[in-house]
Amino acid sequence: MADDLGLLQGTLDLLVLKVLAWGPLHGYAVARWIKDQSQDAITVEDRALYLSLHRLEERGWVAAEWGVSDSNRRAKYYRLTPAGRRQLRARIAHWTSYADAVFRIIRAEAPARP
Amino acid sequence: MIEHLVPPSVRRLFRLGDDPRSVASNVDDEIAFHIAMRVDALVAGGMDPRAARERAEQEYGDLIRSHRELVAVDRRRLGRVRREEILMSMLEDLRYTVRGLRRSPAVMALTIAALTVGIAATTVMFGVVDQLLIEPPAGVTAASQVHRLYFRQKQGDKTYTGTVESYPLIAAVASRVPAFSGVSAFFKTKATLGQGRDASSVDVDLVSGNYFSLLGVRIPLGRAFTAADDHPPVGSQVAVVSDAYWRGLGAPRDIIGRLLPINGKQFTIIGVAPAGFSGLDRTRVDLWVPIGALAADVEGAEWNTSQNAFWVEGVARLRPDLPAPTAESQTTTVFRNEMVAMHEPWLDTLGTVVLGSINDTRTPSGFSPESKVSLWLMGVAVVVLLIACANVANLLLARAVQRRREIAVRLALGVSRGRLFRQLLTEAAVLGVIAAAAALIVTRWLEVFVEHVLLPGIVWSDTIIDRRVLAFTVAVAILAIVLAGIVPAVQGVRTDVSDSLKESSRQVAGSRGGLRVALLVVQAALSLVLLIGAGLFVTSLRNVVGRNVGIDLDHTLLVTMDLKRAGFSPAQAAQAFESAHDRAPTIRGVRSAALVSVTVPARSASAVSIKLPGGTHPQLSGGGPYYSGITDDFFRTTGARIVQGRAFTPDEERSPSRVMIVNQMLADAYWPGENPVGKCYQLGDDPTCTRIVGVVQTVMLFGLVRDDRATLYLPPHHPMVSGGPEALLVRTAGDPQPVVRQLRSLIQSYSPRMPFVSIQSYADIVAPQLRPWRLGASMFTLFGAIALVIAAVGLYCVMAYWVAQRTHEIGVRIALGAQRFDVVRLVSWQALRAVGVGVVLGAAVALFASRWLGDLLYETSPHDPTVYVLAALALFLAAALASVFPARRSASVDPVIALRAE
Repeated sequence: MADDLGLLQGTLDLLVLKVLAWGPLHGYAVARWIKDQSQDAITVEDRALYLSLHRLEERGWVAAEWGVSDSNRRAKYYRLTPAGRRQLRARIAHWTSYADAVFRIIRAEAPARP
Repeated sequence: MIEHLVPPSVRRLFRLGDDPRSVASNVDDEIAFHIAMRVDALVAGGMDPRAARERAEQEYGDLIRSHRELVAVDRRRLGRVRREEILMSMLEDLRYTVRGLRRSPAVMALTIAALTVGIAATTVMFGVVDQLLIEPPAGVTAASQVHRLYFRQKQGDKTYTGTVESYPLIAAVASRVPAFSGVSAFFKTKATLGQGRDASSVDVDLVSGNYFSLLGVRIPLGRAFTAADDHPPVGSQVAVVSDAYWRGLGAPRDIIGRLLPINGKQFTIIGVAPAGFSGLDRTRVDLWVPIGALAADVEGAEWNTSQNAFWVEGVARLRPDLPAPTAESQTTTVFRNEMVAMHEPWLDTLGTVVLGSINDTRTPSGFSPESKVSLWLMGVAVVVLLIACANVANLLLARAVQRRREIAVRLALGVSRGRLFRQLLTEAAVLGVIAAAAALIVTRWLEVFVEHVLLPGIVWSDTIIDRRVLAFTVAVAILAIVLAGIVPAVQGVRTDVSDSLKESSRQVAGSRGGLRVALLVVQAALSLVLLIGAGLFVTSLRNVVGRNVGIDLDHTLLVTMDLKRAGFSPAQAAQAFESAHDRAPTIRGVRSAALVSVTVPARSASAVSIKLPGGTHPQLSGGGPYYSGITDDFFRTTGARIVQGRAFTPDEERSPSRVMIVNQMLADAYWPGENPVGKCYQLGDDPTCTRIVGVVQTVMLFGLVRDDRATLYLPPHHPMVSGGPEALLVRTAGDPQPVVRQLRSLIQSYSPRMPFVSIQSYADIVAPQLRPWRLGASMFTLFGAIALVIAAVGLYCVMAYWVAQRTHEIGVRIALGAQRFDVVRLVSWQALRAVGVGVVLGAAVALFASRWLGDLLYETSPHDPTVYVLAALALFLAAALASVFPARRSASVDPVIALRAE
């Protein structure tokens, strides 16, 4: 069942940024959010998710700090940086217009033949 | 978790966490946490713990691969963060340094200037040495395979090594040594371009047809010579002109095919040599011609067969796969066979051939005097650089001491010592970088000075600052920074936190004083060494220039013209010379003129034997006796002094009288302790004896020094004098340069067939001989003076700082009743003591080192006490000047203010 949706890396980044926009979370929580919100429609390997998180950290869009989880374990918490927030807005705008365009085409009536 | 509590900026300030080793374990923890959480959730849903773990790991994906990926990303991120931090801290250091430097601009400017001069001097001298000794002549490819041929033979009990040989010998080597892929003969001469009034002189290299191909010199325009151009005893009348000559004509593209009238023959230009190529000797060359085309003009029709005419040099290219010793032994065999075949009993038939460097500055018997002096001067430049470095070190030390409290505070706040060390080194680096940049500009000027004023005879490649020299400058600058910066930085970092914070600033001075005084001592010692070197070279130069060589060098002109080559018969040539001799004194500024034949100073020499009773002849160093035919005004013209007897009378000049004048050297050798005037001897094969009427001081023949030759002088019509006048000597009253042009046009207007008349002053002729001394004297003096100024500036800075540090102490002394004079004495004593130790040390070094200077000096002892004493005095004077201002400031300390300042 891995990668059955063939999710693009850019799309995964967008989802991660979106999830983190609500507040700092550790990686496990991010994974659960995505699964729950998509009602298990989007299932990616956790490996891909963590790679995305670390890359976003490398680019400075998210920052990470070690903290203590509810279950009293040492956990790495990610939060969105101001640059990450800007990035999220830009990507949402881009994705929306792209998706609109795709929808317009797949829902179009057959063109009148000349 | 402390990391959690401390914000990143503070963490960075105190350098906590972020250890790259923890990257892997952090990734471990993160993955483990994820798996644990998932397992918990699954178990809570009722799953068996083992199955839950398997499920969690399966959902996660490849654990090992993930770990690797995440660690790689994190390492990359941390590396960048670290680099940014270092860059930021460096910028911070730089800002801090510049702020500090701007606080004392004068001292900084002087220090940087000193460092600049040190780096520039070292760079230029490296460039010169590189060009002279290391770099092959421009344009030659695979120069390490190209060798000059040196022939080593015994003459009497001395061994001579030289490059000049007969053409047949070079030709024999060319045809019979298989180890060479090619051998070329070459000869440098002057030729006449044009005719009559407009005739001019050009520098011509006569070369074998394979010359350019052997050297691998590519001809950018036209073509090089080929074997077909060179078929001794004749050669095609074609010429390759130098790039400089071509540019002098306006660099016409259509130059190929143009005609050049050389020595009355028409030569066709077939090519232009590449820029920078100026033959193997790096002297001026206007054009190259096949050797056969002009050799007969120089050496006569027998030039390619005469084994007794030594005039050409040989250059050979080794086959790539053969070692030089093989070629040497093959060539030596050819050389010995040729010597044996000559059947001359006096010839050494066991000579050897040595393959020398293509650079004539590196001969098998050692470096040329110019390169030796250049090497010395490179050493001297390094010494100047060291003195400048000592200055920088001293200055930085002073600043490090001043900032001891500040450094201690920063250490106490947790700044790492490494970071602090970097910051202290930044100061040195900033100084070094500014100095290196400035040095590149100064180098240009210094380079022009050295090239055109001190070593003018050499054709330098466009600029001696190439990539290698540039790399050298950078290396020197870095070395200077490290030398100058490392000690102060180490000292600064070693600061003990609690001590420094407790003590008050005025207590600090003492402990670091020792090192700084040591630096002063070293500076003084090195400066003294340079001053002594300068003194020795200046004394030598004065001795050489002041030597009476029997020719008033500055006012005597040598006038020569090749009339035979221009088609004059011997009688016509003699007439032309006599006309010039008669008319020259009519020019304003000419005092006298004389005709010379056979042996002409600085031009040619022929020997004759004197039949002494008993048939034994004392050995004459330099050979001879040589003989000249002279008109009666010869000695008046050269300025030589008649020691005994008299000069020729006008009657003796006009008639074939058998009288002679011998020079002092000949008199001393043949008639020691006697007056030879009145004695009569047979000369050569003349059956009648010739009477000695006078003894004249020894007149220079070729070498200005160490080259006296026994010579005798005959009237022009003496039976032994044949061949007619060879040269006209003209003595001027004042500067000879204004006379030269008038003289040339007067003589050239004698006939429309006249060739170019060469007029050189003897001062110009001997200038190359003076070059090593001039180079040594001027550069040693320049560098010595610079070193003195740099050391004085250093001393000034240290003393000024010393006084500033001791204001309190001085205030106490004055308050307790010390006189102003006592205070001044205290300060000056500090300075002079350091200089005194330096003088003793420097003198010892100079006494030791100057032994190797011995053969570069002339009639000057390397231990000349006058030079040593004067150098020491100069140094003390500079030290006194440098300490007088700080001392005066110390004397004007107001005790009330000084004590209240605490």
